[in-house]
Amino acid sequence: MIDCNDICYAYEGVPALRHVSFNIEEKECVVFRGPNGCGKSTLFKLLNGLIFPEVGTYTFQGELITEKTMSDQLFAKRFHQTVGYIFQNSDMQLFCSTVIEELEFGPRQMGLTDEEIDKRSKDVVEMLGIENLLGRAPYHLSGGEKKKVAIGCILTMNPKVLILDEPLAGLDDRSKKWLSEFLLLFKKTDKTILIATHDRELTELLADRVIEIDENHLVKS
Amino acid sequence: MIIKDSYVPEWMLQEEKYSPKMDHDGFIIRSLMKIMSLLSEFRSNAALKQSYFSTRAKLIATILLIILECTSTNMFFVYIIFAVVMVALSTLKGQSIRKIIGSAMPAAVFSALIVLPAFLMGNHNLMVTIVLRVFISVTMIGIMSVTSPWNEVTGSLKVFHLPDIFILTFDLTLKFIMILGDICTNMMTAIRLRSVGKNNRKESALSGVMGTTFLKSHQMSEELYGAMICRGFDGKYNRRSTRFNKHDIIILIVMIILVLLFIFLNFMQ
Repeated sequence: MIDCNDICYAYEGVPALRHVSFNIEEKECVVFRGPNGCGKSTLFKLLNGLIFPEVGTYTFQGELITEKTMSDQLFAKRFHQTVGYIFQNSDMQLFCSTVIEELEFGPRQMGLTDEEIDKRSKDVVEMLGIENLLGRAPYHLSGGEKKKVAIGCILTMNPKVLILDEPLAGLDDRSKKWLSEFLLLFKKTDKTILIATHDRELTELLADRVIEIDENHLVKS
Repeated sequence: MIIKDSYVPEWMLQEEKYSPKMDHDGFIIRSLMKIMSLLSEFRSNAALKQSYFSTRAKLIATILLIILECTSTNMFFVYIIFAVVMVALSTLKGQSIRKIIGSAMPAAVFSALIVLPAFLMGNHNLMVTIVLRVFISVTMIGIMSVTSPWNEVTGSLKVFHLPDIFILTFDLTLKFIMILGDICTNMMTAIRLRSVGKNNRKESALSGVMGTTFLKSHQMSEELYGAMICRGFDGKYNRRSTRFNKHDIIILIVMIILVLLFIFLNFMQ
């Protein structure tokens, strides 16, 4: 499903990824591990089609993801619907006035009917246990609540692949435990899940496979 | 277990059959690219290596030359300054030259438009003097900005005995342009990623970005003030200012020659 072949990427000459190659099958849950600054977030941006490899190729469901293919608006929209990305910092992901508007933003764009949008929002709210947050402004929520809403606003779009960048960063123990259990539940949906994390417990709980990136920005195994 | 009910909705178990529709969302990408290029310019400036001359000497020379060329009534002196600036410009890399000329030309064209009525009324000299002076001034500022890190420029302002609070505000503004720019970039990326269909309320999403950025900046300013108080801030902003180096003697010699020329051409002829 996801095939990265010999990918290199650098920020103004400073390498962030060096000759990274791996492939991920459908329905797999893969954890990316590595020290800070090893290039995990860069790799996730690349997998989301936000940046493009300078060397090497990235293929998603048989389609080469390049600047050219992503400049095709319909392809890009379809791709972004298929690949859901949860940012490390949920603050940056929430831009609507209320939580319910956040949840409805994606499905409304997809042109779903009001009934379908209501059903999806209601189901996701129930899954995440955020009934009491619906009318509140996302900015004023706690870290754990923001993370739930950020996940919710991606889930309502029903992506095939869910990419989470350091999902446990900045959360308290209770929120961490909740999120770990939620991801375990979400794994039952047979979606492809990619997670960047340092957390051993989360890795042991969820990972079908672990990909290690070392401090030299190389894939170890 | 915190999650008691392991309920997964039916629609989530099925693959989404979705065909997106075309939408006019190019402006989100354009705005995003504009902010990113602005930030990348800030970053590349912050990463500038020490140049041949000290920032302090360059700042003094730039301000002095701007004052001289603006106050000179002798056009020959302005042409000399123009030649000096062109020589200085020619020592830079092609990319930097393009960037500086790219800022100086629009400024010159804009000033030409302003003096156009005077030109049409028969005052032809004004067109050359004003436009050339604007071009020279903006080019000098451009040379200064591409060869000096901004933190050193603000530090060098101490030479002019500017109040501490002014320099501190200037420093913090530069720092927060990058931080808030990053926030805007990330939020607009989030909009882009979730703009998977037709959105008739783009303005609403963008106003959300502006609102959140404003709230965030307010929160950060309060936190920063708290942090400064905790670290003993009492209104004085003492920071290491850049020093002159031995190469600055070249700037000094050129400046002396230009000042003498200015006096000679403006007052002794």
